[in-house]
Parts: sequence; structure tokens; C-alpha cells
Amino acid sequence: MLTYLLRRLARLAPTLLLISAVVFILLRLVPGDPATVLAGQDASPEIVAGIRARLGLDQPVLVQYAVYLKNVLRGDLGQSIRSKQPVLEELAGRLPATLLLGFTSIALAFVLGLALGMTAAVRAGRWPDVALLVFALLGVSAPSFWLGLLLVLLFAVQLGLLPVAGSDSWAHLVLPVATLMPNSLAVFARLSRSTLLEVLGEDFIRTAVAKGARRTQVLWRHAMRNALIPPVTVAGLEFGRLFGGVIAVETIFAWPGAGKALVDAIATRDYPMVQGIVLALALLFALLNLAVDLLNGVIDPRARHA
Amino acid sequence: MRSRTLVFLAALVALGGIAASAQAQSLTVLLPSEFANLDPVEILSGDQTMVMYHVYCRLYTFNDDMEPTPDLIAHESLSADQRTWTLKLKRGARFHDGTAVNAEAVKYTIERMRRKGGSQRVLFQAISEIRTEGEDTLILTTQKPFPSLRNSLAHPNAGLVSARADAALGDRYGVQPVSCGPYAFKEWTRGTRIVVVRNDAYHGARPTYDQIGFQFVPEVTTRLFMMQRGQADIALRLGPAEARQLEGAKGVRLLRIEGRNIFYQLNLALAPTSDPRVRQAINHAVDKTAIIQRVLQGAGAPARSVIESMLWGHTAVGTWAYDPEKARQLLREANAVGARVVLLSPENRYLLDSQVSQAVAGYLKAAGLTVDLRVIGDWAGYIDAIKKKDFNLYMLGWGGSTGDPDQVLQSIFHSRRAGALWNLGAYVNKDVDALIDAGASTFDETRRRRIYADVQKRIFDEAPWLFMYRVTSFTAVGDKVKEIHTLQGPEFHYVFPLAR
Amino acid sequence: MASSIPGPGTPSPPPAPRGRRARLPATGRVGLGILAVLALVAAIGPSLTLDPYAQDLARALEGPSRGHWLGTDQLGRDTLARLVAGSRLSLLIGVGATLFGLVLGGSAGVVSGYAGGRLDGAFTRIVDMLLTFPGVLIALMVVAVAGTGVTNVLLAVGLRAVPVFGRVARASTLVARERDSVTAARALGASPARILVRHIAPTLINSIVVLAALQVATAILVGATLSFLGVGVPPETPEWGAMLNTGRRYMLQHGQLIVYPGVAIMLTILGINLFGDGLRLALDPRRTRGVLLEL
Repeated sequence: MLTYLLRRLARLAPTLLLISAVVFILLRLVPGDPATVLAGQDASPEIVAGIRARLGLDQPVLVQYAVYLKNVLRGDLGQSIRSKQPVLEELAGRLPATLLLGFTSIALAFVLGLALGMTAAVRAGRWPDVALLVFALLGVSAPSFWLGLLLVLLFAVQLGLLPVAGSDSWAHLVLPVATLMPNSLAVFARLSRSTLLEVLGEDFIRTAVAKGARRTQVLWRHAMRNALIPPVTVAGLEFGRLFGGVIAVETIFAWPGAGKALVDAIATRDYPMVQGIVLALALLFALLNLAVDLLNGVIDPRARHA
Repeated sequence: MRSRTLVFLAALVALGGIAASAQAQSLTVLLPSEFANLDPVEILSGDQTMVMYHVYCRLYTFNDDMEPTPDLIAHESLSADQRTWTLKLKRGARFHDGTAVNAEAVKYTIERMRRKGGSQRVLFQAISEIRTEGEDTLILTTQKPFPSLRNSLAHPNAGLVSARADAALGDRYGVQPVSCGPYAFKEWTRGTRIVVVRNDAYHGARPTYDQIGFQFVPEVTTRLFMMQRGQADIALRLGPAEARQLEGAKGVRLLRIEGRNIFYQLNLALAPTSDPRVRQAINHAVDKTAIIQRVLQGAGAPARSVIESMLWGHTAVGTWAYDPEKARQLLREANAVGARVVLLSPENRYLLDSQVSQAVAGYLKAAGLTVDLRVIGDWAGYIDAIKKKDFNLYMLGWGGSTGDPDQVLQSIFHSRRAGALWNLGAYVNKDVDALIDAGASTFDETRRRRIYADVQKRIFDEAPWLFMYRVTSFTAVGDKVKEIHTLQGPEFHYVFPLAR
Repeated sequence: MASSIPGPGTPSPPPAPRGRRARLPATGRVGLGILAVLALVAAIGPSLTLDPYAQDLARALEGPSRGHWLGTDQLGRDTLARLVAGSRLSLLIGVGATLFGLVLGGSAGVVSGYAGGRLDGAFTRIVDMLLTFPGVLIALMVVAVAGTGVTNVLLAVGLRAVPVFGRVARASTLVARERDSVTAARALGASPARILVRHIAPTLINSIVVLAALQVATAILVGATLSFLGVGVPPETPEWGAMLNTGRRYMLQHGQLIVYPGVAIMLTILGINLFGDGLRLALDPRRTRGVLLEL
């Protein structure tokens, strides 16, 4: 298990290297000069040139990348062009908010999805099952940013119930999470329902029932464990997909996270910030998938050797 | 299951309510946008300026009519040749770190701005020499007589910097500034808020509140909503629709801000806008009143000059009437029917900018031009695009942040800057140059006014802009705020007593 | 859509045996119906409605009327005409981007799976890496570099789909490579190109078709997200995401503006999901249920 873990971790390095190189070179192709932005409305060409030299933007791209890589290895992600603060520090201020939003949404979606899926499986074909189907269909089809707008319109403007922006209290989490969750919730619910149904049809379950085991006992002890595998497997991918929604949702709800920071950084040509955020996210998603694989190994020992 | 979820949700709501209840003697101000730092050498935005106004002190400050009035100045005198200013500073003022605010500190601030190549160093370009005499006396010499020196020194970007803190903090200075304003910087939670606390050692009248939180809330509906629920005391830049929602609300009053002058600069060096008849046609073709009423929902007033009324030299020269028939006629005369024009527009820089640009494009099409509308969402990309000078029209807003007309005239209409920012439309008129230069070095205010009235008339007649409107915004102010001052052009407020 | 990314444990379905007619289940037929209506609207709708760009400020932000069935937007443009024009754009971006991803990713996947060895190892590594990355993020980066506009959105969204197709095509090729017919062809000295085209490609069609159908939904969604974030099509373009982005500024006065485009997106994606899932069922005789809908 340990060697497997180490091997997987070692494989991360080239992945991150590749991503950083691609992002770095891509960003150099972007039209728009950050030095001009920094210099402001009345700047002379000399001033702009001075700023460009100070930021190292006058060097060849490969030199810039080599310098960047050397610094990253020393734990220095560079300095935000806009705020002049270390990117690492800016990230430290932003990433936790995104993680809180993302993990709360995915965790709630997972737990609720499983609960709903199992309820539906046990009552297959009856009204809870049909209700779930309708919900799941709408859930996977409604774009999260639209859902967010509707929730704002309903709760903020019509009902005046919940805070619609900021991150000061737990109440601020409610609407963003409610916006992000339905999509993944629907996927988890349908997936757990179908696998549970499949498992319930397997021979060993029938045998257990035939041997006189109680239905609930069978359900919990035998079926559940097996029914968990597919939802856990897609959880990693689901998180990545959910993050696509996070960017828009952070914008709608003024959630001070990394997604909004990324959009802002792209808009202001803050290269070091874009690089830093993308690199951090790449690491995050890679680790998440690793965690999902490990979790799968725990639930299903066969997966470890796959 | 369901009831438990409801209980859980209710608990969340309750928790939120407790956290949101405001502390006594503290204010919450909602700003639409965050900015990179609070360093006076950097770019200017109204929201940034508002925070800086509370943290920084300057030699002069603006009163409600945007006239510079002494703040840290005990006595000023001007030499007979009107080029040397002797400024005697008040004693006893201290930076938030305890160091003295003296002549040396002012010199340091101005030189720092020059050294760092700050965007607003143009404020000090007239100053040729800075000397100090003892602790309190500052002697400034200008190349030519420079009547708007006090305006420059009152400008938010002339905020005084503590040399000790600057040296100690280095690049961090911009995110934890140390100056001598009524409030001292306390903390900045990125993406969320900046908190400032009362400076008990402030040299002026005692600041009213223990602390002020400037919270960044980009969505206008959210600012409205927080105001309605009493979660904020001041909310900036509400539109007319939001203002209407707050009309008659208990404990909330609305301030109307006549903000920037919004216009499209026309390219005089590129056909077809090089033809004055085409420029006139463009001005006649666009129904500004309809745009103000419909697109802006009433949030504006037609512009009447290149210098708007937030500046003292303003003369209401006139407006170009909406006359589509005349516009078509002029285009026919200029042989420009069907001619292609490139229209550049920013997005989310000014109120509903890209919507207004779409409407303008629609009117120009109706008049018989072929319009290539390009909306560029990020400001950096926008600046790059307009600098290519292949536009016929591009949108810009000007707030007059020094309170003096010289800034806008020098920047946009002097031929010295033709082809460069912000005279990218290459407006060149030697007579206007001479008048601008004369105005910049004339101390007599009546004479200056006459000069500027003449300048405004001449420029207006040449139609170097598609004149649009002064944009209006609303600030909602809660009960707790007893004193609030407004600077109209730069579009911000301050909430401490004005000096004297 | 997660339902469009088969988990590691789901190999591609083999082709339906000849003689057994694939039949779309009822839900799939509903989806097909929605899509047919949508395609019809996109094809002939724009010629029946008003000019989606024609502005009339005097009639801005009006509710439904005889002249404007769904009312007007902030510039007095006809909302129905813009919605209809938007259907064409959405389908263009959805189908175009998917085809782009299919051709690029599909061929790369087939070659990689057939060649095996180092090349395959590297390919798998890259694809796995890209798949852990949110599609919106990839598209966002591409648009940041290439700039906005319909073509660039299409490319950005299409690039996002390349690894998705690459993975499935590779997995199916691995299975197909071991088939007797392929081994026989190889033994008879057929060139790799011939084997790929004649023997392997046809076996992929089922899995790729199902994936492509579902990927159109994702492509439409990602495209709309970009426009909603203001980095997609120009704001005057009648595109659903862009309409939502503009509409939300007028949400207080005219809530309808954020309702219609959202419903349009939802219905489209619903139709595609129903159809795609039904297709999967119909093409895979071993399956008794789709992933999303099985009842």
C-alpha cells in the first residue's frame, strides 16, 4: 500500500511540471501587457518599459520559465503583479474559501445522494423513485449559474431570507451550496440507486436472504459496501466538474475563493496569479483523485491491484 | 429526515443573524470593486480612493465643492514670480507608526512617487525643485507658474507615506499602508473586506467611529439587499432601479452622485471620422436621451461640454440634438453612407458600458454607417486595443479627480499628447494648445475661466467626441451615518469631519 | 455530464448484433422529440421571428405583447427572436465543439490504443491528467489566450472534449485489438492503417456515438458558462449564457430576462440527456438500464 502511494505521488511531479509549462507558455501568448495596466492612465513609454524590466517581462519566455521553475521549487510561486504580494500568500487567503464551498457541496451531495438513491432503490418503481427520477433529470440539466440566479431572485429579492453574498457566517454558505449541489446530488443519487439495485440482484445477496438473514441486515452489511464503489469512483471526477460551477457561483455570490480570483487574474493579466492558482488547483485535483483511488482500495481490495 | 434538514437550515439562518448584528460605533461600507493595493503610486479607482481617503492625510484636502483647502498647512506663501511656494506645516501631526509628519516626509512622498513611476506622477510634473527648511517648512519651485499645485497636493494620490514604514515593509507597504489619516489601517481580508480603526492621535477633529469595514460586494442587487436588511450602513453605486427599491425605506436615505463624464473619443486621423461632417453626423445620430432613459434607466444627464460641472471651469456649451435626418444628410454630403466605423467598448468599467455601446452601434447603423462593435472585457486588453489606433470611436469616462480642468485638457486635447494616451484620437489644434498652456500658468481665476470657456466652445464645435452623458449613481446611507461628504466626479465619499 | 464519462469499469458496449433492431426506449423518444423541435426551431425559426439585433429603445424591458410574444430586453430587442437565434448558436457550439473533440481525441485515442507501448503510456498519462481538470478551467484558459468570440468558444469547448473522447476511443481500441478478425487481418499482412480503418474504427461507433450525444450537452453548458462569465461570445450576441449575464443586471425590474434563457438551456440539455441515455440502452443489448434514467 505504501509503495503504491509513493509511486502515485511520484507520478504527480511530471504532471505538474507539464501543466506549469503549458500554462506558462500559453499565458505569454496572451495579447495585453500587464506593465501597461500597472503604469496606469498617464504613463509614458519609459515608465512602462521600466515596469516591464522590473517584472522580468523583457526576458525571453524560456528564461522566464526557467527562473519561475527554480523559484517554485524553492516554494516561491512569485509575486502577484496586481497586489505585489507573494502568490502563495494570496492563495492561502483564497483557497480555503473554495475548499470549504467545494467540499461542503460535494460531501452533502454525496451523503444526500446516497440516501436518496437508496430510498429510491428500496422503493423501486414507486412514487419516491419516480420523484427522484424527475429531480435527477432536472438536476443534471439545469446549469448551476442559472440556479444561482433563480435562488438569488427567490430568497434575496422575494423572500429576503438568506444572505446572498459574502462569507461571514454559516448562513452565507447555504445559497452557494444549494446552487452547486443539485447537479452532483442527482448523479450520486442515480448512480447509487442503480448499483444498489444491481447488487440486490446478485446471487450472494439472494443467498443471504434465502439463508434467513434479515432484510435490513443484508442491505447494510452486504449490499451497501458494494453499492458504494461506483459513487466513490466518480466522486473525484464529480469534484472537478463541480469546480466548473464554483467559478460562476463564486462570482454570483461574491464568495472570496480561488475561482473568482482566477477570473479576476485572467482579466487583469496577472500571470503569476493565474499560474499559481492553476498549479494549486492541478495539485488539488490530482490529490483528490489519488484520495478517491485509495478510498476505493479500502472499500474494495480488488481495486488496489487494478 | 426532512424536518431535521429544516432544523439544520433554521440554525444556520439564526447563526448568520447573530454574526451579522453590527457592533456599536462601527460602520460597514459596501464597495462594488476590490483593488490591488492602497499605495498612492498606483492606479486610481473611486473605491480605492475612498478607502485611501480615510487612511491617508495630505497637505490639502478637498471640500464638498472639490476646492482644495489646507489640512496640514499652517501658512502658505507664493513668490512674486509665482513659481516658488513656501509651505509651513502644522506641528504635531504624526503618522500611525508614531513618526512625525514633517517637511522631510512630504519630500519623501513626492520623490517616492517619481522614483516608483506611479501612474499619477503627472500631478507633480510641474514641480522642479523640492527643498526643506527646518522641520516644518517646505519650499517647492515649479517650472512655470502652476496655479493648480494645491489641487495636486490635495489629490488622493498625494497621500503622505511614512518613510520608516515604507522602508520596513517594502512591497508589503501597499497592503498595509501607514499614513496619518483619521483612520489607521487594521486588516485586509482578500476578496472580502478592509478594516480601518480610529486614529486617536489624529491631528484634526476626532473621527466619529471606532472602526469602518469596507466590504467588497460586486453584485448591485446584493448591495441593495444588504442595505435593506440593515447589514450595511453605506452602499455605493446603486442604479436607479435599486434606488427606487429603497425609496421610502425606513432609516435609509439616498445620495445622488453626478459622476464621470462618459464619451466616445473619435479618431480624427482615420477615415471616415477624420471628416468633421461625419463626426457631426455621429453626434446627431445617437439619441442620448433615449439611452439615458432606457438603457441607463435614468442614471445620467446629457453632457454639455468636455469639462463637466464637477470641475470649476465648466461652461455648458450645448448638446448635439438627436436628428437622424440631419445625420443621414451629413453622411451623404461627406460621401460616407455605408462607411465602416470601428467602435471599441469596455465592459464593466463604467455603468452598463457595453449595453450603451450596443445601443450606440444600433443608432449609427440606422444612420447609414456600417458598425464593427468590439467589446473588450478586460481593461488591459482594452487599453492595448485602443492604443492600436484603428478605432473610429472608443468609450472613455473622465472624473476630474484633481478638481481642476487643466488635467483633462492636458491629457486629452493638447497636441503634445496627440496619438498617445489619452489623445489617441489625435486631436490637434494649435490655438487650443496655446489656450491650454495659458490656462495652466494663469493665477487670475476670472481670466482662467474666460480662457477655459473659450477652449470648451472651440473643442465642442469640432466634435472630437461623441458626447454622451454624465453618469448618475446613488449611494444609500443608513441612520447611523451622521456626517458624510461626497466628491462627485471621482464618485466617492468620506465620513469624517472636514478640516475646520 | 458525469453520465457522459464512463467510469473505469465500463468498457465500451459491443455493436448490436445484426438483425436485432435497436429500439429507443420511451424516455429516449421524448428526448429525441425535444431535440427534433429544437433542431426545427434552429433551422427555420430565425426566418420566422424578428431581427434579434433590431433595437427599439422606446420599447425596452416590456412584458409579453402581440408584437413581442416574450417581451423585450433592455435595448427593446425581441426576446423570442434572441432565444430562437440562440438555439442555432448553442447547437452550433455544442455540435461543432463535440465534432472537434471527437475527430481529434478519437483518432489520437485509436492510434494510441492500437500502437501501445510508450506512446500509449504517455497518452494515457496526459489524458488522465487532463480529465482530472475541470473542463471549464481548460476552456477558460484557452479563451484567455485566444480571445473571445464564437469561433474561439467553439475551439475552447472542443479542446476540452479531446481527452474525453481520447480515453473512450483508446479503451475500445484495446478491446477491439484482441478480436479474432483483427488478429487474422494482421496475420494476413494488412497495413496498420487498413486495420484501423476497416476493422477497428467500426467497432467503436456505438460507444463513440453515445458519448458524442451526451458530450453535446456538456459542450453547450460549458459554452454558456463562458458567456455567462463574460469571456465567451460578444455581449450583443443572442447566446443563452450571454443573455443570462446581461439579464441579471435587469433582474429587479424584469425578472423574465433571466428565466427564458435558463429554461432554454435546461430543456436542451434535458433532451440530449434523455436521448443519449436512451441511445446507450438501445445500442447495448446487454444493458437493461441506462445510467441516468433506468427505471
